[in-house]
Amino acid sequence: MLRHGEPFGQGYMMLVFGFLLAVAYIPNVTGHAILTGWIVLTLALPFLPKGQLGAAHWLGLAFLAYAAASLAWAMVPVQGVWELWLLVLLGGCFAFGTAVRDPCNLWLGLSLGFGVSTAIAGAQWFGWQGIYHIQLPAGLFVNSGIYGEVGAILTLALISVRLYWPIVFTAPALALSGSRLALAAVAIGLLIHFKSWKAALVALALAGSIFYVTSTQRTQWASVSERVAMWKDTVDGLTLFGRGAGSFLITYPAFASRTDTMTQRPEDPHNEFLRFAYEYGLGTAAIAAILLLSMFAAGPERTILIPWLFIAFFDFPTRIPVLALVGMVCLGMLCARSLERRYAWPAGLGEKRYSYG
Amino acid sequence: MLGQRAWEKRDIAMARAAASIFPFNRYIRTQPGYISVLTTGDVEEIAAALRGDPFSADLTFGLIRAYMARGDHFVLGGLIHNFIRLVPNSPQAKGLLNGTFSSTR
Repeated sequence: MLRHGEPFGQGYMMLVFGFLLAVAYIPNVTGHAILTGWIVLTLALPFLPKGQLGAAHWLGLAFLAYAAASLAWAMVPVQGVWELWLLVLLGGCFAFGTAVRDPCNLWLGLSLGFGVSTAIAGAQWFGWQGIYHIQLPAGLFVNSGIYGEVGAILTLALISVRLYWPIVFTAPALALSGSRLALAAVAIGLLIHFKSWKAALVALALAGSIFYVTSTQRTQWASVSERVAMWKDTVDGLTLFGRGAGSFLITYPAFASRTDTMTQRPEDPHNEFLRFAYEYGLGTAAIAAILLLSMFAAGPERTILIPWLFIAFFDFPTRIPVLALVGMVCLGMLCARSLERRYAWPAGLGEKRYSYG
Repeated sequence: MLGQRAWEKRDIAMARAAASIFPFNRYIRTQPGYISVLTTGDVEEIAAALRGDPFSADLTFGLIRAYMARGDHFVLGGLIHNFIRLVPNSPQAKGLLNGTFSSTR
């Protein structure tokens, strides 16, 4: 079932890379933070192809330079080094995306690796406690919400390339995780991809599921109000030039008048746009320009990227290696396409030209 | 993994080694301070951890407790002021404000 849209060997390399990234982190076995996924990305990215240097790359490099300069005014610069490393990895994934023409094998590899999590989550659903997870089944992702979001994005990735059979590995995450955000992301993705009344019906059914899940969950809307409190606290700390790389984690408690940081210490405002604005201020304009550039391109990656951005509004996909890779690859692919004159179609046109099925 | 093992064993020396190898992660960097809060109450260790995470309410509280246990009230005023400013609505801050808090609790 492998597709050979890429040069010889590259497709298999992407398949293996995707699989390894999805299974790299085993809670309490390979450490107690999602470090192993980043290590896999660090080791693999130098060997993956990169696209030709274009305007989007320069914008990205300008942002990285700004982020590096921001260490000069960050309160704890050593924390910023960690953030810079993650930003470089995101940049590497983006550069890889600009070189990818057919991501089928990458999505397939990630989905097969994700299947391991789904098998574990299934066992967790029946009470198995062999791998650490918080409350609901989460496979290798510890947090069921993250597990659901990764499942949602990979399901949409498979739909975008019309590779349907591996959905059996990804779609169960939507039910097992009970994540409203994941269900909403899939609903949005389906509407973007199919643009039909059938898709609207499926989206409606998913919306109904979200409300059902919400009404049966013990937390109900608590997580929403906690997020809003964090967002308001984060807005209180915004500055023109940002507080420097890695500064959210360090300086947030100083503005957290609505959150008790004695009982919980958010590492992230659960809104990527706010976090970037908080840490980099005006420097975020470069990222905004890249996003804007990607929106001018047509292509099946929009089915993935727009729900990914939706998730970014409520969570932290750039902090989860699998989600970060998928999002940045899609962004890179769309930017590369929008910058190539021969592919410069207005958004919404030429969709079929870029469907890989 | 060194940091994880240090935390499980409450081994400050191992935690210090992990923090010196990889200071870029807040958990690893501040772990010697947290272990100290739970075990020896070493003021210097907690203060060093607090320099790597200056607005940490729990580390500030740990330092307050360590100073109280040592009977050193010279710097307590400033620390308690910082702590109450960070988490004004926490039960610990209220305890400090109304005088019902003691270092032995």
